[in-house]
Amino acid sequence: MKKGIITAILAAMLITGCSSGGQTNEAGSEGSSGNAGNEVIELNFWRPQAGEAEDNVYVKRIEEFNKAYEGKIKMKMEVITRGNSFAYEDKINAAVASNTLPDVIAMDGPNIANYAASDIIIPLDEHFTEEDMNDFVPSIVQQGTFKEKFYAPGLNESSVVLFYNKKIMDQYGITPPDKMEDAWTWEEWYDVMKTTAKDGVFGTNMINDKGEWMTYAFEQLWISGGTDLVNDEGTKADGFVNSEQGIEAAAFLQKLANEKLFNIDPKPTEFEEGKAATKLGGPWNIPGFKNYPDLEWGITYFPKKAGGALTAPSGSWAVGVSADSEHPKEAAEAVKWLTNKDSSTELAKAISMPASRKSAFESMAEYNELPLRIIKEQVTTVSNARPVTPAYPVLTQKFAEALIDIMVGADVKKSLDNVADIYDEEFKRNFAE
Amino acid sequence: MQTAWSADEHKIKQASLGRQKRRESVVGYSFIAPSVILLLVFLVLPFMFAFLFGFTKFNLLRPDKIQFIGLDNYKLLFQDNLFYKSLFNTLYFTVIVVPVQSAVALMLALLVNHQLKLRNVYRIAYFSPVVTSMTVIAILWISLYNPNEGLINSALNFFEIPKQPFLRSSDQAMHSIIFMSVWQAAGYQMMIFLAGLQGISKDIYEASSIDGANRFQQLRFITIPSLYNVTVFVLTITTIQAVKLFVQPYIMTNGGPENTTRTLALLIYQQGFQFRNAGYASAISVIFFLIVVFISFSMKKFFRDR
Repeated sequence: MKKGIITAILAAMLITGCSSGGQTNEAGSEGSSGNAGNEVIELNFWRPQAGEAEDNVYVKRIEEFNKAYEGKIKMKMEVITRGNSFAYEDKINAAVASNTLPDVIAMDGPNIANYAASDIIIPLDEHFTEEDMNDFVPSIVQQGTFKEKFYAPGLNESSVVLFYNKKIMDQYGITPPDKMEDAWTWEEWYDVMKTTAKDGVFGTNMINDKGEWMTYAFEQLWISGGTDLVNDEGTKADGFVNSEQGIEAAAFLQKLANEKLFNIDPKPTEFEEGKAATKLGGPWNIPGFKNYPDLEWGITYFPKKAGGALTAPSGSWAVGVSADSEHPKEAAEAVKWLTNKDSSTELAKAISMPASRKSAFESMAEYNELPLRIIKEQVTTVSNARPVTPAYPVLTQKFAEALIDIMVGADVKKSLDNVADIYDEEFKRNFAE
Repeated sequence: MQTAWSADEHKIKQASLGRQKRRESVVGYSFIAPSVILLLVFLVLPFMFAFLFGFTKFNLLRPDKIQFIGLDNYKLLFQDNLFYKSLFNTLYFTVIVVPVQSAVALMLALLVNHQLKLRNVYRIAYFSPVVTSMTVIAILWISLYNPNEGLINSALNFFEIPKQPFLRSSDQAMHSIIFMSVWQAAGYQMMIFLAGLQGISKDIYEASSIDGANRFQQLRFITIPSLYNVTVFVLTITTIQAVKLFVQPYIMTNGGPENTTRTLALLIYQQGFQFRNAGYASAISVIFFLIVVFISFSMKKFFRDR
């Protein structure tokens, strides 16, 4: 009995938010800032821990920043372990509650609108010239803009392309397109899968995870059909996620699932091992391909709807200035530094993710040739950011749940209607003005 | 005179006794103080907060905009189909897992209580899932349950049974979770039963065999009645564990397909942390608390009356 109470109280504690602060490491030089009279402004910067290569780029760029602004600004980076994917966001939530946000924060693209709507970050329009804004690839501007104000630029971009196994394609005499106007339609992709799915080989591998990936990748099927998950203002999902084109898109995914053209619980290296003819994946997959010398791979475009628009996912981590910062001007300088051409180029080189600036692409010759050219073309011309809405967490969760349900046989329309209902209800309750 | 003196003495005695008592109680309280303070700060206080937050609209990102909305969260809750579905799933899991898991645990305990060869190997084998992290086990079982190339499907294939979707089917997901949960946790209850079994005096068994009781009769009339208190304990903790079901659906199915594995704990987590509706999530957790209290009280009453 007593245990029962304790159990329930523990459950209640979940709600009251005993957030576990991640371990923190400090980077950046610890030079003394004691010259009298001329006060050095200290900036704090939080970002989640990434791979070593990425972390090193940040350490280096911040050291260079501190050198360039010596005697004026000193930036200190705190790297926060992500643990599971929410530990970093939990830490931000806790810092919001206690007014202890750092000056500069890194945040995942879809969170920008959420933080902007909650006045956690401030707009940076005055700090970026028109030239800057034109240099950013369009999806970076789209992702960083909320209610016509620009809040947070990204250092790099991402994209999803269709990888293919060259040996399997040759075996069936299939030549994947390498020009945008020839990009495969869903039907053409379906035919390829149908032809290649034999002897334990799947037609495609397209489930990276069953969470954010689902929205990140498959929202494009909606966009290609001329609709989206929510309206442009982000206020309404009914008539969008469950529109006729939306239902068609989801039905296409269900058809692939019914015919067992992909594995709903795939091994992460299914494609690398030659067990899938194609794979929806991103630049982050490329380094891992080296471990499979037998694999000959190529890249083609994200398939589009017949008669629809060519489109591809995008989105990345961005940096912004927190509303708690006492030095917003200096913090904006830091954001500009972290997202300038040099930072963007260096990060792109270190982790093989596409750059967020067009000028950075120009300095990297490898993006002018196949296969990486496909990624550059998608990023600079047809990429779309995920919906910009403060209720994004609800949208992405419910949409991902619905897609999985649909793939395992749930009614398409009912599942999508349910997403629309829950989203609209949530928006009306918590964000409508 | 005499009486007055004795009354005085009495008073003095009384006073010193009282002092001593008081001193004792001060020492006593100071001994329990650390745990009481910890309980208050980390259990009672947060729950009070949850109770209060239950009456507010509280976005985790907007603590400044917290808003008192009276019983609105509760009104919403009682119209929320997902709440009823989660409640049903939680109870369904509990109603199946508690008897099955306890029975399995008892059988395992009886098995390893015998003078078998390799007895300790069996004990370790049955107990090892308990000490392994549930997260690890859940991930392991996802691949065992893989609808296309999982080990279980390969085994079924050997017997020419068609492939089953397991976690990826509305009909099978909850049962798949129940099966692996029983497998994982039965070892713990087995240990408790085992301790109980070893507490039963051998004399009783000897006496009964002289009276001509067979093995089954010994089980029915000696072992099981002697384990009554242990059984009550096992059933209670199993129930409490079962209603808390969270990790398995969180890792394996995320509540799906079609919410057939969404439990109350998972619903609270999703509303509170993923959707940041701390107020609504608090309201659910208050109701959850009341349900657990009710179950615990009824169980206690049920067992006391017998």
